[in-house]
Amino acid sequence: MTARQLLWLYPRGWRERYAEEFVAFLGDRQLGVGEWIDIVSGAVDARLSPEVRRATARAGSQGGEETMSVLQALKRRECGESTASIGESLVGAAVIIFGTMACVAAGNWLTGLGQAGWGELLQTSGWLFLFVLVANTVFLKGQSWRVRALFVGGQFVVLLLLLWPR
Amino acid sequence: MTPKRSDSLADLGRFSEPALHILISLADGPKHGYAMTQDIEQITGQKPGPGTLYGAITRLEARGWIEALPAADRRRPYKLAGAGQQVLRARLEGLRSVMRIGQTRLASG
Repeated sequence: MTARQLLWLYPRGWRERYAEEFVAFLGDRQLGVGEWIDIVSGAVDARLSPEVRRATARAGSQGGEETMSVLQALKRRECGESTASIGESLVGAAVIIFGTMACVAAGNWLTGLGQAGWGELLQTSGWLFLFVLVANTVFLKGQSWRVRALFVGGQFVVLLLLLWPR
Repeated sequence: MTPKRSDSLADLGRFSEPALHILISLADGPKHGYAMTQDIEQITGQKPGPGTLYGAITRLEARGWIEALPAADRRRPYKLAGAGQQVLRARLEGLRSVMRIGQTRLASG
């Protein structure tokens, strides 16, 4: 995988500001595992850090014209805005909070039925699955289906492999 | 002048060390990402990862401690800003003091 391919994990504002020099910095060579992990963790940081989001949103709106290509404009039209509204974020939070309560209740019910493994999985890790699910509509809004599939599908698979009751 | 707590490198969390290395690297003149990486590797023996480097650059630029210069051949050089010089001086002074205390204790121990 090259830097250009991993770049799409970063938020749009960040890409508008740093994409060109980031790709020039790394070139189109195949990345090592260490670099790959470092870039993915940098992308997660760029999406979750309020400071980085604020800074790159500002930079994107001020200097975006330099790097805003026709392709990016088309992509925006196709995918819509990439930042979730306050309402969407609140709905996401409510899904996590009430969904976690429902998971705990369902976990108790399953434990009562003698399915302790599944009950424990729901009680302790239900919120993690909900979080990943909500990430799809809040943090990843406006991203391509590939990015969503990688984040959501990949994390679901990893969580299931780690937590599957034995 | 010692920068306020909110203006210190320590506020950058896990990016504080790479940020310090970037400030040191830019202290002798503007550099783009690749040149910084090479320089940092020479100074510390370790090359910062691309995600880490740009995570630190983003924060330093947001705080006005470094400034982006016009890109040349798609590579954008950065220079140390006045505020960045102050922060770097304060951090190096802090490290010098820690080093002095450590050496004194080692010598007396």
